[in-house]
Amino acid sequence: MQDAAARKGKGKDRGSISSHPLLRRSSVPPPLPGGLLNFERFETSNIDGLIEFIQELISSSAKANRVSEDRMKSNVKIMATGGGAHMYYDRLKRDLGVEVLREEEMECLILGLGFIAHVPEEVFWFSEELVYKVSHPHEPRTIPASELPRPSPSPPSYQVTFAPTPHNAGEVVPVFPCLVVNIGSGVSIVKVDENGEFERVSGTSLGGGTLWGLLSMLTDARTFDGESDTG
Amino acid sequence: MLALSEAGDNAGVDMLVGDIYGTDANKIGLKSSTIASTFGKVFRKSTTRSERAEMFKQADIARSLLYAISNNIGHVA
Repeated sequence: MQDAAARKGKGKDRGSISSHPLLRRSSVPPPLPGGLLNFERFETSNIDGLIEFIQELISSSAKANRVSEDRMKSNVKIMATGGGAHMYYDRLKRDLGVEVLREEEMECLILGLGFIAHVPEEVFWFSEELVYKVSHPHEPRTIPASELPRPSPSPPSYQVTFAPTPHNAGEVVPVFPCLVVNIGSGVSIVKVDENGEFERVSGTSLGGGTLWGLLSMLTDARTFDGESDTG
Repeated sequence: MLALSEAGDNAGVDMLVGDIYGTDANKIGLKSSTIASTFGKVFRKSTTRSERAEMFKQADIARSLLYAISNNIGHVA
């Protein structure tokens, strides 16, 4: 549901993304944030908060555009995906009085893969370099020889990476067929072909939800990001 | 511990496919009783650890852990 809420795409700018040249675009009257993409997170239990938020957005847009709220509503489309799109479809439609379109999450993910690959650090592959970069944020990005893992007696004979191609030097694009690992509350592993066909080939129930659940049961931390109320 | 897990229902702590998709679960090709996220129901904002401890049954937790570990072994095998 969090993903679904985020993809409804309204709210505050996420700094690193809005500064990306591909995604930056100036826009309309204040207090609307403008831009192509905005992110806002609501937990599933706070669905009322989400509805209130969208309602406010609609009425402030109506004011900014000097049209009636009903007129504004007739032009608003909410695209929703993920489980929440099914769970809360009726409520969104009824409470907001706007058109709500449900899209299948995996289809959205695959269709958007090419776009997502342009968003800095949104698509990544697991590597020793990545682990080093995350654990040593202030140091040079290459692993010093002293910290390199010892060579394995049977190194992998192939690897899958989103390698830069000559015409887009420095950019990463998906190479098909590939395996997309979508990490949410649970994890789905999806094989994607070049023509966009996909198949859920694997997955696990041990995912983000498990981490949150176990952490909240075993520690005193109260939020995932560890804000000031972390005990 | 095994006896404890026998009395439990993992749906008390696990988020099932049906919890996410409601009755539409069959559309995506997974049973509504499939575990989507082990312990996915446990996290609730602004509850304390002791409140959470009371909220969930020991037996449910035992059952969920048993499933999680066994499924994981089966999965990697």
